[in-house]
Amino acid sequence: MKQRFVSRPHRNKTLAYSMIGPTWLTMLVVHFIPISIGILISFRNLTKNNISNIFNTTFIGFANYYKSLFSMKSDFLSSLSVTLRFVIFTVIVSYLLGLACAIIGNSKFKGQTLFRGLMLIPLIIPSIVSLTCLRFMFQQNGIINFLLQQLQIIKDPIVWLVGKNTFYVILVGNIWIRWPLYFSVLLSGMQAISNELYEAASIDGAGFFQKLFYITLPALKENTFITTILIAIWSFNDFNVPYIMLGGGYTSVPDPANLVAINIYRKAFFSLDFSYAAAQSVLMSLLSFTLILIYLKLRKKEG
Amino acid sequence: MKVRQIITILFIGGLMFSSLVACGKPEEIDTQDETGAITEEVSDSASQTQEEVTIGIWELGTETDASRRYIEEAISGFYEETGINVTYEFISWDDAYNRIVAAIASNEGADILQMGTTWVATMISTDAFVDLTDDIGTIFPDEDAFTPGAWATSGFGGKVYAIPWFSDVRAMVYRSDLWAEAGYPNGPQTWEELQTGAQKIHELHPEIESVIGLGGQGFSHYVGSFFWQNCGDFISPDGGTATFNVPENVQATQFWVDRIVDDGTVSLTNSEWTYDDVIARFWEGDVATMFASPAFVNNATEEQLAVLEGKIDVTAQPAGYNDCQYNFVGGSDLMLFKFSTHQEEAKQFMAYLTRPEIQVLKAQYENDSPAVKAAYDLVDMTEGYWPGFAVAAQHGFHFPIHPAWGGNVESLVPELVTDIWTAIVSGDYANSTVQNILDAINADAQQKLNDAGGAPTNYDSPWPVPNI
Repeated sequence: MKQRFVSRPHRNKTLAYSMIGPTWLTMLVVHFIPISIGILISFRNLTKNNISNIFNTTFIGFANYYKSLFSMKSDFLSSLSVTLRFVIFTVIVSYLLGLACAIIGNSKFKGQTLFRGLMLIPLIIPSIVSLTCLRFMFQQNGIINFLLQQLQIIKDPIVWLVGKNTFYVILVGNIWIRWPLYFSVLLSGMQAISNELYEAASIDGAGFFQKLFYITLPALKENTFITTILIAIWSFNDFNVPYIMLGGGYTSVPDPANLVAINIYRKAFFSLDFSYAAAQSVLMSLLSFTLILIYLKLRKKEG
Repeated sequence: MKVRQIITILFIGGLMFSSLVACGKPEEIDTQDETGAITEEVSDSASQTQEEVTIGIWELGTETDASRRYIEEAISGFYEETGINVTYEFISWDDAYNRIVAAIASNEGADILQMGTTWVATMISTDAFVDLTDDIGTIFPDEDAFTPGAWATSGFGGKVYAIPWFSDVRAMVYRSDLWAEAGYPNGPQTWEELQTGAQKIHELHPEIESVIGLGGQGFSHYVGSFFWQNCGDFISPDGGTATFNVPENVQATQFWVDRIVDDGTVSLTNSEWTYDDVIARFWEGDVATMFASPAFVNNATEEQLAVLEGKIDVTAQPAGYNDCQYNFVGGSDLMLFKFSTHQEEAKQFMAYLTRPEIQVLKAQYENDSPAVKAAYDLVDMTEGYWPGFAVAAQHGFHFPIHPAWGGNVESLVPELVTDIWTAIVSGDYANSTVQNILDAINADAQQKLNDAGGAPTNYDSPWPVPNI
């Protein structure tokens, strides 16, 4: 009987490729093909008038990109500016909040388990519920103004949901749903740090902040890096927070809260200017990739 | 080794098979798609015999018990008469545009589509819908059968592409007890009466949060109502020029802004309110006057209905400084996709839905104003608030039925409202604010009209003569 000999590494490779095959096929259909069509559309003039014939639309080159980047009143650039501020503030405040609560959660005290559980509530509750509740809380006669007036911090109620304050409203909403991730990741990271390091530092006379800056934070570098990347990307791409908190559908999200994702959505599905929206999507993706690459390069240099 | 290969092949094969099954077209199932709409009895077209025809209709809006009962009763009656099956699917308004655009791109979807009246002209320009002009007066009632505001939404340039189904008439709904106290038992008939009466109510009843409710969030149809009440409009009659900032419109906008900044009869809290919030506060007694559709009663609890029994009245919105008296009429029409393979049957069902008794059925279940005049003469429509809405329907006016309007120029209306409210609540409001905002909005609107190719051909043509 003829025996066919196949090496073990070759068998393992075949098995591996077979297992990931369906995933790749799905990603091809769900991600790569739509992305390719989106890029194609961005170079053509696809609007409501020729939607039924995507591939026969006029080729207009980089006109949509030029309009996004260089026109006098570019909505893309103004929404990008809002989004970058949104991301930066979210990351900084979420990190500080998460770190502070992780330090507290890592200490031994009565009710530690309850404390840790409570800190995860924003992560457990669906964001649509949290954000809708926050929206009500921010109304002129809502609980936030009530508390501020009771504490005599303000005299007249603040209008949060209209005008320039809308940026702070969506910032609070986004921080609320994002910071528990920092908390849980940093807490688990802290628990992996050996106590001997802190004991040795105490013997040497190190105080709380010295231990924090020379032991805790360096040990949490990788955890912080990964979490920051994730939260930055999610915030950059965020659509839900302004959509839920400031009204969806036809409501005009005010300029101070007009994130890039919202702007693209409105261009595509209300103005029906699909090509322009596709071009903005491509620019948004390129920017995300660029920021990630820069950060990775900096991290590599550091390493 | 061989066993391992067999297991691998079976595993992958199973995955592929299950994914293909999920994508397959079912013969008869009850499914729930990603919008949450329930699809009833989707039939495989191959199973239809020559005698059995099934057509589909997409309804826009939230599926409620009332809406489901109405459509099932209408479908049942139509089937008894014609033997034609009708399936329905509800699509939420938020997802409607996406679904319609996808249907146009893919040539797949229901035969008949409920279409928001402000979107009709935009959708006409996609060339995906059937021209119904020649069927007016034969299959469908002629122009005179419909209320003026509703008929205006059926198309432009002398062509009819949409059959009015129901109207969203925004009449003036007011607290008759409070307005009688202020000296206007029949409600304000002019802007002067609206201003002085509201001020009087504000003095007598400071506990009322906002005498007039004008929500600052969502789509604010009152912008149009005030424009038309002062004999202005959004676009010139030939469809080529934006007219947001003509003097009549500036004066109209200044009128309602003055109610906020000068009189206080429109409270600052309106800046956060949607249309539904205004209605909710009306029922709570915090708003004395609003511009609402007949569906406003749907938002009331039994207790609220009892408390305000006999204290609410409905009439047409007041006339402006130039004696024009109009109120916003929206609603929905019915359009027929060109890819439908049962167009004649679909037209029959569309015509069936315009019968006065079927219009009354929709009004009874869902409190939607009929688009057909004869419906208001039926017994059921002569009681309650319907006579007031019938009066308002006769003063109906509509957003421009212009290809560049729906989703495009139209988006400037909520933007205008947002800009005005932002200026007021931010403390940046000045005497020139309204003019400046309208100038900026008008410039955007003109750009959008120019980008859309300017005035459409035959935009101001008269409506087609009925084909009798």
